Amino acid sequence: MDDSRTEVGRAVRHDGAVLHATGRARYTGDLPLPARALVAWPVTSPHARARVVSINAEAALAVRGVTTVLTAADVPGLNDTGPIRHDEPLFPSEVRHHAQAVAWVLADDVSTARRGASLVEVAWEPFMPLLDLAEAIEAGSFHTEPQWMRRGDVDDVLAEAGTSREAVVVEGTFRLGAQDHFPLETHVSLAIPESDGRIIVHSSTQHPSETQAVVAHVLGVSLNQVVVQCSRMGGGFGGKESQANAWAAVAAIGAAKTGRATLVRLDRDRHMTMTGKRHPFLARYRAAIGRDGLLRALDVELYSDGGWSLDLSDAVTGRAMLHVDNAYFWPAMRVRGQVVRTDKVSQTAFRGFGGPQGMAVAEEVIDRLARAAGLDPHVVRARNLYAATGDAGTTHYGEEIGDGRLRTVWSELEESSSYVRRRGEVRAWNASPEAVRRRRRRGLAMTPVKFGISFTTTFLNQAGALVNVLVDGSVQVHHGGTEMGQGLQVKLSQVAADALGVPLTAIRMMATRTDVVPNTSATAASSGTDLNGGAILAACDTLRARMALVAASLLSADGIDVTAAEVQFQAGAVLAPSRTEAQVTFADVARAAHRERVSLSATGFYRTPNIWFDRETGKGRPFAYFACGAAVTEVEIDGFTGEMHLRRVDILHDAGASINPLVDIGQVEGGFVQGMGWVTMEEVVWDASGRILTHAPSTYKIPAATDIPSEWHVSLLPRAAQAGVVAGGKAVGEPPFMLALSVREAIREAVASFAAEGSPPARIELRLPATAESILNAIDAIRG
Amino acid sequence: MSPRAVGTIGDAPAGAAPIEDGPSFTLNGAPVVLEGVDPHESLLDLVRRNGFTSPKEGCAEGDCGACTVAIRQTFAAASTYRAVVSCLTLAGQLPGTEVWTAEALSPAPGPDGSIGDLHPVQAAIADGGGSQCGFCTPGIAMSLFASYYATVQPESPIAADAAGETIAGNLCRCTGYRSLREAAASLAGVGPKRPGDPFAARLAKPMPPRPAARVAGGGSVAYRPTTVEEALSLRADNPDARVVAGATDVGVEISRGGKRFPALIMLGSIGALRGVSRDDAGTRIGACVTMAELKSWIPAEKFPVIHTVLPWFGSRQIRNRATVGGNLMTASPIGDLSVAWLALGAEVALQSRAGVRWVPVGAFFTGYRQTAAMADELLIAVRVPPRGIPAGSRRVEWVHKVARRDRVDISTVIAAYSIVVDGAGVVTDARLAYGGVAATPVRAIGAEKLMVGSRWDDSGMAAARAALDGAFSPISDVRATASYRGRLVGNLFDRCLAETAIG
Repeated sequence: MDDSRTEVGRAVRHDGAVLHATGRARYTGDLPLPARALVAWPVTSPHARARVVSINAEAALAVRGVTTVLTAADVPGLNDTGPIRHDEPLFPSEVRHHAQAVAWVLADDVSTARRGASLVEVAWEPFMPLLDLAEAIEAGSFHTEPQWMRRGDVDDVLAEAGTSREAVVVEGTFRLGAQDHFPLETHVSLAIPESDGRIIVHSSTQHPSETQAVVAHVLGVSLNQVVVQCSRMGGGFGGKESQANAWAAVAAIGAAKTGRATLVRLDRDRHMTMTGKRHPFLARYRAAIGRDGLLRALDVELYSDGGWSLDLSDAVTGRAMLHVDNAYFWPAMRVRGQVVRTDKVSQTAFRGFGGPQGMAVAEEVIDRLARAAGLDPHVVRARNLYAATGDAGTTHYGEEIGDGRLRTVWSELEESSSYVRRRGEVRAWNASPEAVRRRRRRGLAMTPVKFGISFTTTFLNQAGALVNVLVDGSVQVHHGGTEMGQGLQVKLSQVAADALGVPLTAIRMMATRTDVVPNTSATAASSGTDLNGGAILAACDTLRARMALVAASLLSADGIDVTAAEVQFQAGAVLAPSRTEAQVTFADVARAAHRERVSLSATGFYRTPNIWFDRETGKGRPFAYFACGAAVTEVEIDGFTGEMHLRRVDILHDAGASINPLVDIGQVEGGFVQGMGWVTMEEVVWDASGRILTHAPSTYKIPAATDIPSEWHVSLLPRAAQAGVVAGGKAVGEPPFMLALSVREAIREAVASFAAEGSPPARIELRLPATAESILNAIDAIRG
Repeated sequence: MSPRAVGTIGDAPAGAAPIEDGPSFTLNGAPVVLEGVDPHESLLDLVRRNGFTSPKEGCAEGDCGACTVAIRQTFAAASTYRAVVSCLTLAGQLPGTEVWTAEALSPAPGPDGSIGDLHPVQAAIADGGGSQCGFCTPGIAMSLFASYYATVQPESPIAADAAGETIAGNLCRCTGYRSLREAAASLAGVGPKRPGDPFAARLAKPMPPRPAARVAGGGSVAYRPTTVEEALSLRADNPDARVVAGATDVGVEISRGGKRFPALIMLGSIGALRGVSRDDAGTRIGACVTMAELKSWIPAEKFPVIHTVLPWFGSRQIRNRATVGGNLMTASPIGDLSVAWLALGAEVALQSRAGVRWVPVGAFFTGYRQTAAMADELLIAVRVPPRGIPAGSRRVEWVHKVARRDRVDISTVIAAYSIVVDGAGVVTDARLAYGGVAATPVRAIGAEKLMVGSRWDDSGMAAARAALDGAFSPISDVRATASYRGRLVGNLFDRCLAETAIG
């Protein structure tokens, strides 16, 4: 690739950018509806847990414009949409979370459907719901058996540390809240019956193949009878990895029953009350540090609140376990993970997929250990960063880090952000009369990110592509990945352009369809470019080899025989160094190939090599590589109100040899702000009956344009090409999210400075999210 | 002294409204007939139904901005584009308006997908990496569009150092906003310089007078009276009708909650309810003055509390529609402006067929979302009494809102204070108003009394400060606990002292 890196590496704008800005990008909900299309509205449960005694739809059916009311009796196949375990009845006889749908009204328009739904009478037999995570653990309510990962003898190390003057042991419990994905586009699916009755579903889904499978299951047909298409999503963030399926299934059942196109679009309130969030976690830990600042042991139990069904929670919990080290070498570790069952929405994938929770626990423990030992948390972080190789460069599950980038990023960012100087300035300012009089304090903190790249379920690490060269030299590229804003399509078009030696304008990326590229994995785990890019490269290699043969004969003349091996494809030109005067165009070669009956269509397949994980032993090499980064955040907090202001953020992130710096920096910035929302302002609140109270942007606050850092420096690590990966670029979708943990630690630093001179607090408790109220509570606890 | 108009709005019809065939509005330059349209239908649904799908429904409650469109409105002798959320704009409000969406700004793409000259705001977004998933982008383009053409107040032009404010009412979950803020900043001070810019050309002229056409359909009707008297008689004849001013509150019930009323009485065309005037009794603000107009029509130096509060009030799109009167009539306990009026000692005018009566704002709020307005009364104005103070005295006016997010959020607690301190540093008058601590906006009268006669410093205010602890019994809700709210009552007073006290 490196010899022809022409389009790759350029800061090309998103392929949809002009369509977005001009309002012409069409999303699933914007598709023109076929004639007589129906619109669905759910009949939802007012109880978090109840048996459905009866459903009487008579009054709804009497409304003009209501066509039918879908219930379990209308499911031709399996009444279940669970992606891994069949524990998600689509039309349940017993509801397991508040606002769960038990029936769907189909009508000519949305307001009629909504009115109809309000008239469906459901008789309920309510039960006491189990809502609180700690209570559910106590009650033994679990979806899974515990998973374990172990390194060394934690009990021994902790026991020894507990009796040593040279070490400090802490223990505690830490709870983390949920986060709503809040894609601006809510869940939406449009099912259209074809003339022969088969169904095509347009769905805003990150996983068209699974949506296809779920639709086929509920319809009781084989997979080949169903086609799912996704052109683009208005945001996904993991929320549409498994949880787009149910709505597609309802639409398909409606279309199958009525023979009419059926649109299911959740409005914001339904979206927020009916679909899963980032998992709340409860962690119990014991940990030890030496007075020398070296970590000694971490013994941690991670309980994820899975909600009513398993969904992807087992893998989410597994990834939390794989990231509870964050970027630090803990010589002894024991990690226990388990998915708890509660009567809430089914928590699901969300950018980071358990990684953020695991790493937040790590930083919580680091801070506690440091303060308990009277050490500077920054020094503890720096001292314990993983080495490149050897024992101190190997994770608790046995994977070697492999390079020294963590420490490189750390020291380069410390330097470029002027961390040391600013640390002094912050301390001086905090002691100033102005800070004291106005009861304001600043805090500065730096945290690292190490994030493993690959699906931890190894078989998912595969992808397919279909690349078609047309006779005029233009190219259509199909693959299994979906575009949700992350810039997958533009990056892959750059990869394809260079692979074929054509300009970017010759490449057209096609909508994702299950009848073109089958049996795909979700676009998730930050893997979209790595996997689909690998498949596209394979297809392009095949095409180039075929076309090189054709080109060789085109270029051969005047007694010079050009061999296929020396044919070069460059920016639309095809040439051979031995005969530069005979240059032809890519289109010439395509036309010639067609005449010579050489196929211009090729599939490609990719599977990530050399990865494995043994769940029984908790050991393996689950990740192809690690993406890393670090962030320095400076905040100012108000001691009267607890309000926080982000003064400055510096980020250095490792995106490998960036395929598209514009896109990658956008991912870093967007991920950081989303993470900042999680750690500071976003809070999903359930009431005592299990109702979600924060079900709209009026009550659930995500960061706005005025919330970003006043000063913000984002850089990508230079000279960082990653071996063995498409174009040397690294996955960048999820890792930057966790850079926002630096915001939380900066707040903690600022809170700490409210302590009286000379008596640093041995512990600073701070909720996640650290809302103004939480910050004020923390300050009041320090000030006494 | 006769009232002196300091601001007028021109889209109120002057004299008799012209007779038209039926209600209609202009969408991207072409007429859309409103005959038979349910007046509750949102502009968002109407626009999408007419083939323009760029405005998206992200929340149907005016909080996300994905449905932002621009409406051209008369201002002074010319006109201006204003960004509004189409989800809270009702069909019944539309006759005679001119609406623009993102599709209309640039030429349509050719068969090869290419688009000719992009509008500068769209080019700035597209080239700078300002879109990722793109779902919020058309709304952001329209917010920038309105500001780009803001050659006149009250739509604020883009300021390079406060570019975030321009799009604070547009949520984006992908980009992290840096690229968008830079796109906005790149347009600051540029203005419509393209020769022959068709959108700039329109601004020279006011909108034609709006017809008084009613919109009737779906079993409901929206009346659009042009005088207060007409509105009062419509009210008397239609006891089930809902009175609508900017529709930013009732629009939420309608668009998000699916609520329907037998009739709607739209106040937006009553000229007498627009405008600000001053006389011996004080500054009188018409009930249908929008928040955006309020900002430009009352001087910042005289009303610092109002000017400080306004950027915290909703989003720019909401401030372009929400009215002073509507905000008072919703009687929210956390109404930011209500707290400000309370601190300023304002009074409201309630008009019925029997005449006009003035009620102090403090007496106007009678309970949770309840007011002193009778069923046959309309709130027509709010008046702030003259603000003069004795020579040598100074007025400490201070306001602070604590919320989960500092833009486009509902107050956890808001405090607005108006305190007069004499030359000796002694408090001679004090009004401490709070929102979010009781069923209505409320004053801390006990503490106010203890302030008068004492020095405006920590020790002088100690007794008043102590009285604030436990002065109210706030509730716990999704935003905060009662404990936090209770602490803020005193802490905000402390913060005001720390920022403004003597010495």
